Amino acid sequence: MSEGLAAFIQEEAGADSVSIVDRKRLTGGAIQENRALDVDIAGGPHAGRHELVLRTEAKSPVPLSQPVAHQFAYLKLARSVGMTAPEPLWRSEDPGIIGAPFYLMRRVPGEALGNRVVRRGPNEALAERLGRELARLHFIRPPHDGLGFLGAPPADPAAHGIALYRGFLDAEPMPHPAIEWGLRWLETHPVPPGEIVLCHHDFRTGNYMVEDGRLTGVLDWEFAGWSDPMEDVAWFCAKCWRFGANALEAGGIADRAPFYAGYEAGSGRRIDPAKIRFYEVMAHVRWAVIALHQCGRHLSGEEPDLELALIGRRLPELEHEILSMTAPDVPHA
Amino acid sequence: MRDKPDARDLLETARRALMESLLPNLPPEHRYRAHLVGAAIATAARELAAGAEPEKEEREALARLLGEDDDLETLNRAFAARLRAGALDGSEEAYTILARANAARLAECNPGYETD
Repeated sequence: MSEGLAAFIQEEAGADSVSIVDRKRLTGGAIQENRALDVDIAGGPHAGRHELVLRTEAKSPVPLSQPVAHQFAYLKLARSVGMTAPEPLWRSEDPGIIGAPFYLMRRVPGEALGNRVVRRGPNEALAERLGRELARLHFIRPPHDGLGFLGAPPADPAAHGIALYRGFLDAEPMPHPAIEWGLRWLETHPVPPGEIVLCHHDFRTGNYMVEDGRLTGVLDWEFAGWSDPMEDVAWFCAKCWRFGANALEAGGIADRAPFYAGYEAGSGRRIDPAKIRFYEVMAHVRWAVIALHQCGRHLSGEEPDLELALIGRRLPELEHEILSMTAPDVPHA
Repeated sequence: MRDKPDARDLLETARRALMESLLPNLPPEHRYRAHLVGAAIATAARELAAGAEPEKEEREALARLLGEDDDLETLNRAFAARLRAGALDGSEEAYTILARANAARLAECNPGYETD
């Protein structure tokens, strides 16, 4: 695959020759494969050494995740609104080059692993910055010429989510009454539809790079889509994404206040606590149905794997959060 | 009659060997998977220790709530359908069954989980 890739880069970069110096699989990306490449380009406008990441289309993609072509478009768009995200360079749909569609982006320094990021302790400045980053993304509104592939935005993102996740449960071989309870709670505690913006849909600790306590890039764009901006804010704060630093409710890195303040200052929009609560319940429902699907790849024999198997045993944690937010005596915020 | 040690003992002993003797000698790139192996063994050992009691209790509670007697999976299927249909909205009894079943499973999968 190395030769085909080098030839591809040579053509895209208008180079005389290209050599791929080093490659290793990067951590993270349970869904899609990321490889670090050091590429030496001779001749042409890109001459020099480039530290890149090769992101390849997943062999068995999770439903809701989008092809690499869309991810490439989101990265470009995110950078065009001033977000900190890796620079996308070249992409190809040709399966003849490395066996699957792929794109190359510049590698950003730092670490993303959630456990490591939260272990470094509270970081209010980072939370504030992440709030501002998310606010920038949410300036992108439908209709948008570059995002025609997304189709029409949902009229009511909350109702859309409920129907979507029920569909997931219907495809599961086993019943999941705690998730059903959560979905019914969402249905009986509706939030009114409001503005629709481009949501990242996986904006959380573990999916951004940090170096020396500062943000270097927002990653993992495969779930982006039109929705209520509060869905992204709630996802970032949901307990399932605090990596054990539960007292720091903004992604395990800070209290909510600096994250909310950065978001409000950057967007000019007020945080809506009722919607945040609703979408935090939905966040755990969403993660639960994705976890079920991931584990299903192991259970079906399609891809027997220890990590996928253990994801199935994370369900009780997610269901615990759903139940604790939806007890019968807890009135809707 | 099976010989001793029993399955639970074997799993716990195997896990200790993994975590205490093998893990420190593994190259860093294999440690994450070793932790996963340890977690899988620990969950299996706790499940064996808990035995059939939690599911028996769940089945009996569901049978009372639904007024039907069947196996646990069938009862949970009927339970899920009633929840979705709105027939158990705000039901304390339904919620208690869910919370108890959840607590039992959480104790097996992740006993250290902070439940606040």
